[in-house]
Amino acid sequence: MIKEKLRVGVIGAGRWSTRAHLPGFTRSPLCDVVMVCDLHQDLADAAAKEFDIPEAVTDADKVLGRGDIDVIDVVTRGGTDSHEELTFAALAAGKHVLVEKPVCHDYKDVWRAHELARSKNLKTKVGLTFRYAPAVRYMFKLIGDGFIGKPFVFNGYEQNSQWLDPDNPMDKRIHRVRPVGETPRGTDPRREAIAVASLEGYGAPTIDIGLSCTGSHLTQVVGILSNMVPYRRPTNLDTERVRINIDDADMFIGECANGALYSLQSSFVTVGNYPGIEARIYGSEGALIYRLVEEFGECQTLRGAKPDAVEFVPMEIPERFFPPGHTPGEPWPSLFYANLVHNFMQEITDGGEENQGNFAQSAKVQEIINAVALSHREHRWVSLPLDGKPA
Amino acid sequence: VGVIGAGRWATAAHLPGLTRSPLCEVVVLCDLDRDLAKARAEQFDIPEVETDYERLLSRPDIDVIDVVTRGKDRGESHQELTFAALEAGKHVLCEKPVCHDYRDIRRAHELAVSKKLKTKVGLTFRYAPAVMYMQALIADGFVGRPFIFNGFEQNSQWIDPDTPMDKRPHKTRTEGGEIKGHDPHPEAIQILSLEGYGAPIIDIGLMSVGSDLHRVIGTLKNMIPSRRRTNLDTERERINVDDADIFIGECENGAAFSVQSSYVTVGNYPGIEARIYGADGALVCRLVDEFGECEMLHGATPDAVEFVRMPIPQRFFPPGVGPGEPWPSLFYGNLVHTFMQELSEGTSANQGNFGQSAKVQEVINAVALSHRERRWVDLPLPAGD
Repeated sequence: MIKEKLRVGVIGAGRWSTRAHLPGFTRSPLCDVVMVCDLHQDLADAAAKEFDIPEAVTDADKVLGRGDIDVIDVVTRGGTDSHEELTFAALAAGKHVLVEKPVCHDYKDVWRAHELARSKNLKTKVGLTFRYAPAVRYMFKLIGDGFIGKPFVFNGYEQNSQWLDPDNPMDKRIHRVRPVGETPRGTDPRREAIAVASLEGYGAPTIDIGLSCTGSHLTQVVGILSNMVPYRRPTNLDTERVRINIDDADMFIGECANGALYSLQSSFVTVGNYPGIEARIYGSEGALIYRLVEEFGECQTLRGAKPDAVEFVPMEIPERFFPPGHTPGEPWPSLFYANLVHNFMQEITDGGEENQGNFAQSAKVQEIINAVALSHREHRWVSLPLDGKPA
Repeated sequence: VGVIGAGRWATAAHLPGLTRSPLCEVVVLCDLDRDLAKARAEQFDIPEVETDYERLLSRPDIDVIDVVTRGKDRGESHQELTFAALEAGKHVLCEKPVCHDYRDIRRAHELAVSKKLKTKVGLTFRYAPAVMYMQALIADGFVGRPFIFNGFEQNSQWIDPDTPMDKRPHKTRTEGGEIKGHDPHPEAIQILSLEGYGAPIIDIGLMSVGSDLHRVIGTLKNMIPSRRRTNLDTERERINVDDADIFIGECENGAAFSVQSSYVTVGNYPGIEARIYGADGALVCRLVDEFGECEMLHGATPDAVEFVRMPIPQRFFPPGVGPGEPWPSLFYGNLVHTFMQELSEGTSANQGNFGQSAKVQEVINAVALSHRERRWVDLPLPAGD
């Protein structure tokens, strides 16, 4: 039976939408984007023109209210609760949902969203971009095939220098007028009051990958959240730097249920290029290291070593781990996102149980983020699962 | 110089280093095994051999004692030999660990200072040309205010459970002595990797951030629980030692600090990596023997974020270096020559001495305590602890 193409509505037409999401949708043979929505009509119009989308609107309810749309993609930029609000609304409207991280800031809310989706037989996917990098997919395959054996140590990093310059505004949005009704973050300068930023925004995808690499879950974590660049311009409209107490560098260590050691570091003030992901897994039978760092024209490398061949050698990534329409030298956002989107469209079209990187996985990741933040505030090891619904 | 210990590490690192420094001569080589001492003395052109270290220490014509014994058997303890050498008025180079308790190292340091003697610990990797260059760049402001240090020392020396815990090839079973790791409780784990592998990278970390650690928390693991104890054993037994560990810490100057050490993680020797990220730049130094290269330094700055390889200037190499020289003698050549320079010049310079080693050992002791008590441990440790 030839199934009709899935019909997608995209909410958000900012930079990440046009660099990653929309190029991914337009190249998957399994779907059509039928509507794009943005609070700024001109951004919506520009995206519709560039990606050949029939309709451009400013009201999200218009997208959600359309009976002929199967999938909603939430890729809005700011507003602390907009992902959460739009996600619940889209699920309530009976749509499959792809949402940028964080879905919600509290893992219990992500878990609620997951249960709502399940109760309605809807599939979900979170923008855990980097698990869809061809190098990572190949790494997962190798681990599944036993390349590393029993896992001993996982080390994950996501770091680059996006906010190293204190004059680079905290809020990336280009404001024409000062935003109203938004609570400023990081106003309390005390160590234990630090607002979570890097750990959530940068840490999430690599925490996710670490869980897949060790094939286990974390039982205990302890970490520190640091604010290395304490003064910064809040928005593009500000000329003065103010004290903003947010975590711009953090590290945590953890123990996995299967005995593996786990460490993670994220920072947006450490010198280095985008995306700045690195993950290393060492086991009884081998070790794998991948780097997703754009350097000298390459954006991903995977290297491996074995106990009897201990010098790490590059491992060529087979063609089947690349998305449809891949071209050499393609920029990483569209390359990785095309895999993500196409994988989601396949999961929905195939109709089976498969649904990797969904809200349940995201809830697990968010629970770890919440636990690490607690471990920092209370200066102690924190056991998982936390008190709420076990993830 | 008089050298005590003629085993593998003495042969691979110490003796090549001492014999190539133009500032010293090795006059006596001492080992409990006379045949071994004789063979190595012949190889390195050393005039005399000795089996009794006390006779060596009593010689007034010796200025420097190098302690590079292998184990903890009677007459081979680093601690015992170090104190005896200092008491005899000798400058001392000692392999790590000098002592297992940082307070004993501090006592040795104070004894040395009181006798105006210089000391040096086998913190080999701070003398790698790449690390020396890295430290020079940091001192010149390349990284600016330090944000993060990440250190690793890891390789797969003991990944095979049939590789005996005790590296010494025994001809007969020794009676008595300490039995390592017999208590299987996680909090009773015996410290091994953290001390043997962690020490040099903790040392490099403290230098790189230019600050002391303020508090630490870590976890010590035993990934390979059963192993042959010695080369004479055919069966594996439960040995609860730390073969993989991670700790994190906060520095006095606000930098975040992490160290991981393991000898069961696949990778080549020596397996050191040091990364420092700061306000003005980042440096990544790798000392891993891969495809004929044993050291590499890469750097990046905020306006040139792709890491580029930084060639190491010739002045950071030891005297008599040759291309493709193995890392043990290359790095140790620098260590020994630095010590001989410090002694000859008579200034107050004395890097990597017992004072620094005591600081490193205190961090190790604090991390072990943090593991046993599952909590953050503040530094410095209370004097009576």
